[in-house]
Amino acid sequence: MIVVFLRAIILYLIIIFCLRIMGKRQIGDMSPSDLVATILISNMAALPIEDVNIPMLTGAVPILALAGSELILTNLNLRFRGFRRLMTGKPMIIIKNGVIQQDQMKLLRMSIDDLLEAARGYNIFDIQDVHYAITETNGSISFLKKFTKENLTAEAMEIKGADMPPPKVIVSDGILITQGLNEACLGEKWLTATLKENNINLNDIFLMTADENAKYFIVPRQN
Amino acid sequence: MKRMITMAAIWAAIFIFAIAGLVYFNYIKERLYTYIDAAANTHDVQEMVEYSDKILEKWESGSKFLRFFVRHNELDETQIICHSIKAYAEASDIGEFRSQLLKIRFLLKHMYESEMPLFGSIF
Repeated sequence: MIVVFLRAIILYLIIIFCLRIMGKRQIGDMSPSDLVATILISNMAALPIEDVNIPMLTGAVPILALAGSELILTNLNLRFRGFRRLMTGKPMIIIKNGVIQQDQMKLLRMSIDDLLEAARGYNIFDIQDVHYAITETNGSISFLKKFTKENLTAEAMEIKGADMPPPKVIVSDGILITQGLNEACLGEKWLTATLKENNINLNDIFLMTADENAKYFIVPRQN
Repeated sequence: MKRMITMAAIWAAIFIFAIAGLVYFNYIKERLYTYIDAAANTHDVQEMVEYSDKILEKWESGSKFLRFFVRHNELDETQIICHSIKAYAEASDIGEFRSQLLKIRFLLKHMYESEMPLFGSIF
């Protein structure tokens, strides 16, 4: 039993290593080769855990082989457009100038229910609001609303403002994140003064964020 | 680029280990074949017993490394037969003794060919 336990831990670490090597992708953004590799890796990992007759190396080697192949494929995808087209296909327009391209939907084996469901995911409840809809290579659908249905933007209202980077995490679970402090161009003196002003210690902070304008937000720890 | 280099290093290590394993397996197999053939051709019971000990000793030393890449149940089956041949030799059961030697030979050939990158083993 200990053997099975240790094998599970070792293979789990190998899989984590392989997924890190393969790079970060959410499931929805995976290309076909990413998805195949992930499914195969998880299935292959189960074999040496369940069957102790299979040597660990014989279990780990196919996982490493797949991870390496995936890395090679993604690099080829990056360098060669033709190869990328071959592996992932190309995006397809399913709504053009407000007109649903039914022949394209047939090719994609996509029903109208799929289209409407995807539109609702974009807060579009009336398909007439859509100017263009494109099915991406990973199967997701992107929507472009008609001009009159687009949300108001600051530019449309001629409101002027400056682009600001997002706030940085300064304190996480009572621990000072020096990198965040430096990226927000704030010093420890500012931090000390701010904590004193709010009458709170570093250890009592669950989350603290701040931006370059020294605008901060503190979430105290709940006991 | 760093990831590619890391993975290339891992693949290189796998290939080196695999080739070294095959070379070592071939060496063990050929040595065992020599003992098996000699044991099968002798009619002297004492020599059969000695060859049985040599076969078992050579197998046990070799199988420690083979455990890393050969299925354990196949290694165990070979181990059991290697242990049993001495008893057949001591009992002068020459027919069974030679039959078990042939089994060991077949198992070695089968295990080795399963590890070789041949058309039959891949497909």
